[in-house]
Amino acid sequence: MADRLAIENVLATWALGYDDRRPELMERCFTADATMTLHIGDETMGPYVGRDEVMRHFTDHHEIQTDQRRHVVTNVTLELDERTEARTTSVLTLLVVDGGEVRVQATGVYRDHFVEADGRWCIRERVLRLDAHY
Amino acid sequence: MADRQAIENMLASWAYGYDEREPERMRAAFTDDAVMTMEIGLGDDKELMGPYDGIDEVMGLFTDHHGEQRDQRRHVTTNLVVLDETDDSASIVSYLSLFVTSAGEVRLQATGVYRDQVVRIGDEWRIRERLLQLDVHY
Repeated sequence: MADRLAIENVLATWALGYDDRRPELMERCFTADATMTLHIGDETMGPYVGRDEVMRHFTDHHEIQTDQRRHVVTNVTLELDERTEARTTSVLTLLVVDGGEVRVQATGVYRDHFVEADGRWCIRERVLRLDAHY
Repeated sequence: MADRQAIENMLASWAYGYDEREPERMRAAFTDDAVMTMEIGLGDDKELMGPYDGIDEVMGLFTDHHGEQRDQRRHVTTNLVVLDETDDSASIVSYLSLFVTSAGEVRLQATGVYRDQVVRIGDEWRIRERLLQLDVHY
């Protein structure tokens, strides 16, 4: 149970880091060798290889997006492969506030491969399948 | 280390207490010396409410709103992050998605972020300081 709680904290920390535009919070969620791939319909973005590339994907989007995003993360499933590895799925409901209006922009599923090192869980591989464009 | 499960339970219990109009349940989520502040809106157009100082003022905010609101609210609380923690205190953040049902229609009224300082009193966790930043009006 402690592992699950720690992993849930990482998932929510990434969302807070993105939405609050705090790169240091996002960065701590990934291993140095992390990869990330996005699928949106038939379109694929990535894989982004290495934490620096993954982080650049996020910060580039911050430059473009002038709205306020809320990455609501729920429905976490977890399979512990070993004591130091876990695979999770979680559901994203992406809410966007713009011009005083809030809308549901997209839904999607994160499939993450977590590893634990030095008492901290981090994402080594993230695949996000979005049901609609973000 | 802070008890994440107990904190999640307390956050959900406050939301249940508000939505089901059970003042005692809301009260139990706060310390007697609790302080609550609300910011509404984004950027330069933020409206400030509070600070409401002490449990009586904080509860007054909630029950005054109950007097005005005829709709059914659901404070959906997600994305708990425990940032800094000791055995007896923690700095936490959680997300609010506020759904409102009125005249048979449900709408997503607002989103926001709770930034709380919580403390452990005996076996219970309570909010000592709450900042609610709403992205739009509630």
